[in-house]
Amino acid sequence: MIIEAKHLSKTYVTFEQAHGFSASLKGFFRRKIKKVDALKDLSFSVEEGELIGLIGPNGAGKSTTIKILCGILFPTGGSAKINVGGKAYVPWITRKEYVKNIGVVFGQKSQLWFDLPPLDTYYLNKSLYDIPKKDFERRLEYFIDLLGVSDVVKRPTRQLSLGERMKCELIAALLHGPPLVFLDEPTIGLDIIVKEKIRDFISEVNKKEGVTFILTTHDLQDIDRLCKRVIILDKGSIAYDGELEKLKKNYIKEKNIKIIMETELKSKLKLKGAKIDKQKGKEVELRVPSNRVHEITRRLVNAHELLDITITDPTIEQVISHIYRKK
Amino acid sequence: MVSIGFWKSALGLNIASQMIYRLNFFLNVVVMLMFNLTFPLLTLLIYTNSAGFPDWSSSEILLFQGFAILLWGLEQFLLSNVSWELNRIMRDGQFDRLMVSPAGPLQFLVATNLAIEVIPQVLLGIGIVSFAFFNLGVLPSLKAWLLLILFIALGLLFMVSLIVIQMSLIIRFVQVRRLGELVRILSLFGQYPANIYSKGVQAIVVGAIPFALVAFFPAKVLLGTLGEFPYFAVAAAIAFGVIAYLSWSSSMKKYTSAGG
Repeated sequence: MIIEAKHLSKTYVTFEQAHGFSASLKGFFRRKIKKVDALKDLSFSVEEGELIGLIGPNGAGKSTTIKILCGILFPTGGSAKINVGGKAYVPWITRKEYVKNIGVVFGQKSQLWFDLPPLDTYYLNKSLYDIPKKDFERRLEYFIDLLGVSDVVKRPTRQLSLGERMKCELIAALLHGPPLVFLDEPTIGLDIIVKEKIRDFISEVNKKEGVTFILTTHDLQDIDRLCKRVIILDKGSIAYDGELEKLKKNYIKEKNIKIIMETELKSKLKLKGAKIDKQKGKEVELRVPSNRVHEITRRLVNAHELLDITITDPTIEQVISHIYRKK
Repeated sequence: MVSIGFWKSALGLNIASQMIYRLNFFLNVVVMLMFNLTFPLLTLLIYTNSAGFPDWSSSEILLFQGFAILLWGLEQFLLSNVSWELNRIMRDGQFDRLMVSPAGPLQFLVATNLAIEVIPQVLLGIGIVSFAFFNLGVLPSLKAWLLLILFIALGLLFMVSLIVIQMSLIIRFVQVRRLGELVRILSLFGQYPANIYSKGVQAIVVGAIPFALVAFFPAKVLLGTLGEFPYFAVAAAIAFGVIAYLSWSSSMKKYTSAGG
């Protein structure tokens, strides 16, 4: 087991700040303290070589969890043991020694030197992590080739696009060969082509090098494409921890049906047993119970002239919103 | 422990990144040199047109000011960019990156924010100290040399501690921009010989906030006029070191990052 987190909790102390000048003036002399429970009794474990998606809405506790597991934050309670490099670490206690064994990418925080080419940062990391020359050159060549950035790494970082920069960030985080990598929203703000390239890269490194990845993201396509297991956080607690496929198949037993009519309906479609999500022009989107798909589509085809019909599994977005609604 | 290779690489990158903006780099060096040359020249001007500083000849005062320029230069080379950078990266949570560096946030912050443009000031300080020393023709004993090294080390420890305490406060309170200026104003007391002040101010400069370790005691020990060993100043510098260590450790535990 590479990560063992038990009953982690984190409470932030913040100050309530009312709106307006008089409130600010009042707040200058007397501030109302507010305690926010960012994590509540969080327990989970991760096996070596897993690629886990940590998802949830804003404020669910994803980043706080990552920051505690990286040693950036002290938890208010609970414990965590990370087994890397043949040793067991408590991240916030032995942070300096521990961080040599992990890689971290923050989607919105760069470790590259702004005015210099990424290659310079890589050489700085070589000395920082004491990477043997042969290993450094082999990994650098491998990652550059995998991401197709041989020219990019020689240009000043400030001249790179967000996608190019993110590819270079990934290389910087992996050059020292960490067995465990935390990716905090690595695809944020990127276009679909770059996202795909980055997903391919993560998948390849996970499979070929056996690197364990913990990934937080708001882009559920990342999860769908990369993760077998997901942990869904909601208000600092675990709402679901298990296989993504099981979640999709078992958590809600519905299918999506999209139909295109021959002619536009004059009134709202009425179909017993189906929930109409959207009806616009000739297109109608509906949800039906998985065990009644056959029966309902037969009724639909009998009653209407259809141009096209598509039946799909629920999207991960639907599953998650269903979980949140249930909670 | 991070290797010397890391510091060498960081120094190289500091130079490379500051040299990109050539005009800015050139102006920084010129302004820094002008400012630091003005300081001893002004003192010499005051010295030659007034009764001077009691118990200090013009060559002796030049030695004193050489030490002041050299040690403040070293402090600025290491730390002048650091608190500004820390103020900047604390607000948006960029400090997180430093927390996951094997060098540790303090060492990483210092190594990657060296003020290269201050190197000429350090060289100027060495030049003035050497010139004044050979001009004076003094022959310090081995004990005096050892004491000089001790005072310089403690002077640097004291100055670094002041900045580390300041940085700890930034981590706790996120924005404390004017604190650095307060320290700079206080440091003005260390830029003149301690014996020119009243007894009360002397007690502060020597015993409580030991700016006298930066230039006053190093100059005195080389000149052979140290007198009593400055126990209070040494104890105060060590106390500042301990306070800095404790406040930094505490701030690391209290660090809350930024949202998101």
